[in-house]
Amino acid sequence: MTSAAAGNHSPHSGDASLELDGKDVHIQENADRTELVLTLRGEGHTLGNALRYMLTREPGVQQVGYTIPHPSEDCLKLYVVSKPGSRALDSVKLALFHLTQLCDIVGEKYEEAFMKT
Amino acid sequence: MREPPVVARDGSLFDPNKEQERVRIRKTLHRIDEVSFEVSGVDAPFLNALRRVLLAEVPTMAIEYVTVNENSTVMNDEFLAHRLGLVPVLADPRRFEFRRESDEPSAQNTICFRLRVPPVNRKAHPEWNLSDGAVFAGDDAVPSIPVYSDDIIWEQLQTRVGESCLSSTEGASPHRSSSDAQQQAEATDGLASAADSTAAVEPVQVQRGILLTKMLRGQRLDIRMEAVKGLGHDHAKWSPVATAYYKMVPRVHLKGELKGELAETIRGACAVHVFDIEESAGTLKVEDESRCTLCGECVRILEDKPQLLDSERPDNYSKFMQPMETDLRKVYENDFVSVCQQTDRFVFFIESVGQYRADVLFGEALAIFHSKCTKILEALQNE
Repeated sequence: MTSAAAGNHSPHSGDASLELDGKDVHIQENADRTELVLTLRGEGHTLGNALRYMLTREPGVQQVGYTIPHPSEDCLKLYVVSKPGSRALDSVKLALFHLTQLCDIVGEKYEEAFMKT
Repeated sequence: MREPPVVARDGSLFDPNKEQERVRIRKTLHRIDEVSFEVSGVDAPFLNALRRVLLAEVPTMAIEYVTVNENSTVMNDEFLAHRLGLVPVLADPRRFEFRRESDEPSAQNTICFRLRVPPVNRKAHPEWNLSDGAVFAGDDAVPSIPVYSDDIIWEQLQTRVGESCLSSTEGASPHRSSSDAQQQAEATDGLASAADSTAAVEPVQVQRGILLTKMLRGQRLDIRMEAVKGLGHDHAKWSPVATAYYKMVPRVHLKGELKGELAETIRGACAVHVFDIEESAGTLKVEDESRCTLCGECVRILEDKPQLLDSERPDNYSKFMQPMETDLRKVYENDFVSVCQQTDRFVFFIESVGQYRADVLFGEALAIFHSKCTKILEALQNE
């Protein structure tokens, strides 16, 4: 598993438009769904780096990177390549879910450490 | 010498059960305005996300709208408004809602404050009661009177009439001519009638003791403020933390018994007093490695003193070779001292500005990050 900056390397998708159509999340995939560019509006390095980190720990992921294309544009692009046979988007969903799980675990431990006195 | 930053500790797959066992948190400082704790088993990207959330995405209340009715001090309105914005408003932000452009101000999204100097009740403020003679006694005796944030007083929100209640209700009332007693009665009457009847609103304080400006007798200030909820990434005044940071736990090892001039040199090199000299034996010891800031001065200082290096190389050097720990990364090293970071253990520091207790901030950040993930997960669910 390696990490790389997404840059402007985009998968060959039918939908070439980069407009977000008023949505906060935009998905571009290639034909067999192993490559994905996810555009998230209103997100930055806070989520970007954590999500990339979690994706490196997902089994189906071959390569992942993220970029903030322009500092004045409030959006984040996440680039994921999955292993053949698995869908890149599923790995992203799993990673997001695992991040919430990690939040719960850390929160629980924090409570334990600080509330028992 | 430095290795690339640690992105993931290893390539291990995420497993909640393993994670549950791996994550450890130990409290090291617990005060009302400051906490620190040691975290192990969590990797830097996750902690960094939490740090960023703490700085920029945990909401607080701060003064945003300032209406200057009167300001005859030398400090101009904009400057004063900026200073007022930075005064911490000690209200629990969780009890308030965000106020969008289109929203009407209400007790749920706005806190009103008023700053009036000279104060309405002058008897409590003797500095305003000096006779002219006392003020202009000496050559240099034009004393400036400091205005502190203590004078910012909470007001119940007045419902807006027309364009702006702020200027319309008070702008016309002639402070200068009416007596103090009258003014006060006027003010309280106006408030009581317009007060939001639904909520038994508790008064809110701002942080006391902050110098806002200085003024002379005869100058006046009359300012109304509205505090609203906001996020630190819009303006730092909404940031709930003075600092929030983490660092890898520093580890400092001595590689032998060091004595004499060498020991003195190394001890003296450290600005934060990591080292001390054992009184009885006269040998150098590590007093408190957690203070280490990784400046590397203890290693670097010997480069300038080669004679020390040659004369005092410890005979028992090899005996003290530290056992290699897997998660230890060397930052600085020579024949006597090695300064390392433990890459899987972090100390996290949170200093609260005052809106939140310091120990709830971390939980807030976790909840905000959690909801961030959930929101995107929901948006992706049907894809």
